[in-house]
Amino acid sequence: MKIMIFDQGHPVTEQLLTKAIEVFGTPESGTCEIVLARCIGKAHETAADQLQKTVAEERPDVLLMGATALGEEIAPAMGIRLGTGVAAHCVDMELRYDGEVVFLIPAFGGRVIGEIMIPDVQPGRPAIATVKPDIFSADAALVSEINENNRLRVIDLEPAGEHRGFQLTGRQPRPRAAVDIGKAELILCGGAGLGSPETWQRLENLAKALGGAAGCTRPVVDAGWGPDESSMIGTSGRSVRPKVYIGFGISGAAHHLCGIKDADVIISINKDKKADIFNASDHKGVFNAEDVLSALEEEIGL
Amino acid sequence: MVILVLVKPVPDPEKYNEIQIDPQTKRILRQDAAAVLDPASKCALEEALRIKSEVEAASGDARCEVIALSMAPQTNRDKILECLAMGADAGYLLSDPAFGGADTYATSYVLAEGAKAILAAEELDAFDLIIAGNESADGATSHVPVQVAEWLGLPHLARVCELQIQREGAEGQEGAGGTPVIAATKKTEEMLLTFRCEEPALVAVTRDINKPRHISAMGIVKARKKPLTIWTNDDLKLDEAKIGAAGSPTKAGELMTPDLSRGGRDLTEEDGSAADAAKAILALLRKEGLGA
Ligand SMILES: Cc1cc2nc3c(=O)[nH]c(=O)nc-3n(C[C@H](O)[C@H](O)[C@H](O)COP(=O)(O)OP(=O)(O)OC[C@H]3O[C@@H](n4cnc5c(N)ncnc54)[C@H](O)[C@@H]3O)c2cc1C
Repeated sequence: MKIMIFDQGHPVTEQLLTKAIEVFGTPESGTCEIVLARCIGKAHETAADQLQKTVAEERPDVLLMGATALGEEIAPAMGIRLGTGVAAHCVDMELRYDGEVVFLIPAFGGRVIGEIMIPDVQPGRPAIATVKPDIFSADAALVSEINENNRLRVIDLEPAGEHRGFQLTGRQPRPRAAVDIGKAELILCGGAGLGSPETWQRLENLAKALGGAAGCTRPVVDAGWGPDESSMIGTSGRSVRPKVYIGFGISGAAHHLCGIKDADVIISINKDKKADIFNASDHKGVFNAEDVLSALEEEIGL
Repeated sequence: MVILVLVKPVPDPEKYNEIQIDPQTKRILRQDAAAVLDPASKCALEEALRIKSEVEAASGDARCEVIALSMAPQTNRDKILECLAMGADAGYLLSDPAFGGADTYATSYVLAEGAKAILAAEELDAFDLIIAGNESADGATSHVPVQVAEWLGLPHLARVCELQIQREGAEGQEGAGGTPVIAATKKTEEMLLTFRCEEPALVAVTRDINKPRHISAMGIVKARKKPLTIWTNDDLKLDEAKIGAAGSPTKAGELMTPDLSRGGRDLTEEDGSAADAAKAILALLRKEGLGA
């Protein structure tokens, strides 16, 4: 079985590689071959054309890529061009005894997880799957050992020349949050129940004072209280795995819960004792979020 | 100018926490959540309507027609009416039991064929622009817009958070005439990328691009007089092997609802104060080696 991973120079590649080895076997196990199709710093507008060519030459059975802005543009395009199915945003995958690959994908904001099979695959018409960053964790030691010993074949995609359609005219870095929630061990997360941009600011300051990062739900982004989607946790935001997550004024919609389910400890504060987030928490407190924020500020002398 | 907007009815996203799976059949138990227009579809339509009013304001006789297209069961006719009430000029609903059970591959095929059939019916050469929501609330794959563009052989750009139509006259100056040029900003993990496209294309917009307008009473009245066409496969005449479940390369297996329950113990005694809760939180942080 040949597994191709589209490598766009994003940390998700190492996460995919770790998972692929776990599911399909090491590159030398004889059961599978894993190859990286690398497209870093080359014209992204033509990445789909480049990958299509490489797939035709290499004839993989499975094509995996990160569900990044680039991957989400390329994976569905590959599906149509190669006449095959694409499993979106896999949260797990499994190789059955009969050789069929089963992908688990979320629907309804993560409330439902469904099995997806792509039965009619052939070499060159691979099963395609995308995986969001940080859904799988990378085994850093394994990945660096593999790289150092050149255990993987890496195919550098050839930049295609002229192309029609969208032409890149400018690029500008997005502002970054002070602390990246993807790496934080402690996340204080604010929801609509914070009520105001001022309270959000207090949550952000408190997170900083406690050595953690501030995350949020969608209404906080939509209301323009400060953070952008890079701090939003959930289906259309980030998946996080801190040691401790503390939610303030968050109802616990499936769209949000699916992003926090891998936290070691979940603590939540909500004034409504029936809030859905309580059942998904280890520890809960039925309080006004602001009161608990004030008490925390006082305790740590903020 | 003609803009096609792809819209999708979805079960109300506010109700997803209530979805249950039948343990025997492994299917979703009676999904009676009312359908609503997908939030991102509304943003796509809003964007088209904004462009329409800009184009029409720029010159008295410039026309910009906005056509809404959806593939959904006939019970969703009112969602197309909603698009017309928001301001779309015409609506098309592709409804046939044979379209059901489709994955994104077969869905995008039917939508692309529907788009071609609209061109034929309206005697148009091409749409100047197709706009879709980047991801729907239910499946949220973000595949369908890109795949429709691929079927139609059009350039596509997803995750668009800013969109402008520039009209460049023969001398390159902006004006009402000339070819429309699409200027779009795509948001990636780290960058804002700006693109230009000088030919018809599809863009998939994210929900931060705008705040969709509310429907006015006047909009509702006007909607009833606008053309709403429902096509079945008798009209489209698509090969049954390429549509619905038969035309879908992916097959769905069992469904489950992940068990996220963790017990939810109280932080404090029954009538504990917020200060007690704060102390309990800090104690839990210390236990994990965290906190100031
Ligand atoms: C396609 C799609 C994708 C989405 N993706 C995401 C996503 O990635 N991430 C995300 O978070 N959401 C996402 N959502 C939105 C999601 O469905 C919910 O609407 C959202 O998570 C709710 O955020 P919330 O809990 O902050 O607000 P609400 O649901 O409004 O809850 C606010 C809570 O605060 C409590 N509260 C109010 N006042 C106080 C107070 N003074 N003190 C304490 N508690 C108080 C209330 O009891 C309530 O439980 C998405 C939706 C769609 C349709």
